[in-house]
This record gives sequence, C-alpha cells and structure tokens, in this order.
Amino acid sequence: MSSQRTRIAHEMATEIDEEMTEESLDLLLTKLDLWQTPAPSIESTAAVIERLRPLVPAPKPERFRVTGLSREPLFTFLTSLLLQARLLGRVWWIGTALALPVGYLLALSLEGTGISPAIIAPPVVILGLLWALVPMRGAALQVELTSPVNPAQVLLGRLLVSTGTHLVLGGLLWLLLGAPGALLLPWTAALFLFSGLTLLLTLYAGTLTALAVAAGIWGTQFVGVGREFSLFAAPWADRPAVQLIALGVGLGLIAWSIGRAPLHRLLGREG
Amino acid sequence: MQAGNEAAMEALVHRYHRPIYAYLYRLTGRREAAEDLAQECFIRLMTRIREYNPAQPFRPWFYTIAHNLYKDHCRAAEQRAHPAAEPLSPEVPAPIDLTERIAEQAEVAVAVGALAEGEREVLVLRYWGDLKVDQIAAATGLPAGTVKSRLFHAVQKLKRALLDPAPARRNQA
Repeated sequence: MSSQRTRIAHEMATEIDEEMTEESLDLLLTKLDLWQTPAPSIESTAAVIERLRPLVPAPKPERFRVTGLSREPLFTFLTSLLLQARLLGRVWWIGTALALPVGYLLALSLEGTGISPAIIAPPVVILGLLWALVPMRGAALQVELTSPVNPAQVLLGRLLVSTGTHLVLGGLLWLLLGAPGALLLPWTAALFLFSGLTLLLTLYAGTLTALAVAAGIWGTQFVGVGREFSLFAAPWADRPAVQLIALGVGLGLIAWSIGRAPLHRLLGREG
Repeated sequence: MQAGNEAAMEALVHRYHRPIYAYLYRLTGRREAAEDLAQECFIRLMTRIREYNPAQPFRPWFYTIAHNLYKDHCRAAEQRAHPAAEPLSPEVPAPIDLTERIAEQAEVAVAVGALAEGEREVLVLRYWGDLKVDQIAAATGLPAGTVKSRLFHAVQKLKRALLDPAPARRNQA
C-alpha cells in the first residue's frame, strides 16, 4: 500500500499543480488510509455470484479445435496480442535482451559437443514467459477473463510475442556482430517448431495440458542428449537443410492448427 | 468472459467485489446501499459485457458503470425526497466508545464526507480507485480540467481538515 501511496502522491503532485509538496501529499494520503471500509461479507459475494449465474452469456468456451481464430475477427486477436505485449513490464524486455546473449554463450558452449544449440531455445522462452506472467498473475488473468479470444489464442499470442522478441533481438545481434548468425536459423526453427507443437496439442487438450505435454516432449529430448536417443544429438541435426525443414514443419503446424477448426466447421465434421 | 464462462464470472466477482463495494461505501456511507449497488453494478456489467473493448483497461470501464449507477441512485433518492447525496454522515461508532484509532478513522470519514459530492467522487476514484485523471474524466463524463480542479479543491479541504486542524477549528469558532 505504501509504495502505491507514494506513487499516487507523486502523480497527484503534478496533476493538481499546487504548492503542496509530494511529502505533504503523502502525509495526507497516509491519513486517508486510516479510513478503512468494511469488507462485503462472504454471503453477499456468494449472493452476487448466484444472481449473475443465469446472466452469463450462453456458450461456454469451446476448444480451439471447434472455434479457431475465425471465431472473432483477426483484429480482436491482434488487439489481444498488443495488450499482452503491453502487460509485459520493462523488466521483461530488459531481461530478455540480457538473457539472449547468455543463451548465445550457452549455445556456443555446446559447439563441438555434437548437440544442436536449438535445444535450449524453447526452455529460454518458456522460462521467460513464466518469469513475466507468474508475478503479475492478476493483470494476466484480467486479459484472459475479459478478452473475447479463447485461451488457446491467448497462449498463441504469448508465444508469438516472446518468439518475435527473440527473433528481433537475434536479428539485431546478427546484424551487429555477424557471428551469431549461425545460431539464428536453429534458434528460429526450434521456436517455431515448439510453438507449432503446442498449438497443435491445444486442438486436442486444454491449453495448460498442451503446454505441459509440449514441454515434456522437448524435455525428453533434452534429457536424452547424453543417452543417444535425442534428435538434437543426431549428426545431421546441425545441417542447415534439416533446420530449414524444422522451421517449415513449425510454420506448417501453426498454419494447419489455425486453419483446421474452420475447415472442420465447413465440412460439418466433428473433430 | 465475453465468450460466456461461469468460472471467469466468479473470478471477476472475487477480484472486484471488494473494491467496488468500498468505492460505493465511500460515496454512500451506508453498508446496505453499497451492498445493493455493488450487486446492481455486477448485473449491469454482465448485461453490457459485450460492449467492453478489450483494448481498453477493464478497471476504469467497470468504475464508469459504478459511477453511473451511483448517479442513478442519487437521482432516485432525490425524487423520493431522501437526498442520498447530501453531505455524508458515515456510520461511525458513538464518540464515547472511540479508541484513538477509531477516532482518527472517523475524523477522515467525516472530512471526506464533508467534501462536495463531485469532489468526493473524484478523490475516491483517484486515490482508492487508483484511476488517472483522464480515466476519471472518461468515467464521470467531466472534462479533465474539471477533474483536476475538483481534485485540487478536495485536497485543499482535506489538508485544512486533517493536517492543519487548528486553524480550521478557529475558523469554525
């Protein structure tokens, strides 16, 4: 409360353009804090919920498989995407910018080990998203609750924001330093492959389950590196042609997942 | 929520019931009125949820609904010749029972209650609602300049009443 009070005192000092200092405004607001209001009873909150229940708009959220992106205009989806980008605080953008060189160094350390650096791209993105979204659960939840797009689209939006940031930063590094360009393709391919896999899974399962399964599949590849059953340890994993194919598969999965639901509807088939 | 989801509705009520109730309590000074209005507020929210533009922040939009509802309430009270918008007389315990803290709390409640209605609304939205001047202007339909001037007068009066109470008392005498 006190940091919020200090912030409001600071803002109000400029808004009301008075000779009153920020400190005395803070003192006044401290006084105002003494006025505690009674909280609504649990029964009254329950009564509100009961009164609202019949008013909730009819259809429950459907799986992405049924709704697809065509449910709402693309504009709404893009708006939600921007809203999520706005939710991510300055710390996230700075943190991502700092994490990328760390990821690059980690990837460099894999050089000569026979392991593709692509393997660490999705964990970096996932950790970044968790780091950004978990502490601001309230604001993130607000987007989910009030947005007309469905949870799979919210997830897709987050992955796109994060992937896009990594690509832009990676591109900048490439342009500035030249050397990390060798990493750009495997990194990009891995991000699109992972995003496509996650989106594909949301056709068949809930959003969180899909993310967990995709992360699990990636995790087995990660664990399997030293035990010779990981694709990332294969001798051909670092070949540009293979990475281009992976990138194409990732983009294909995203496109197919997005297009599948409306197609289902048009064909009148149940998924 | 716009897609229709009971769980989302419940989460929304749990998140906003308390702040909206507090906002309405600070304006009406009465528990029952705040409780009824808060309930009405959620009903109005539910019937208008499709009008909400997700590109805009949700909280100011919700406070706009609460503000309009409070205005309707005041108008209805005036028509019934029960001016609810008269200077507030908040529910405070009898002076004889007051501890120091409760006395301070009552002092603040009375000082805020003594503000002109428009000043009180703007102050409550600005401080306890944490809305910016332009958001308050949008919620109340007032020009931003008026919001600032009401905020200025509210702060001036509260400063006199709460921070320099001695001159205020001398003036009253």
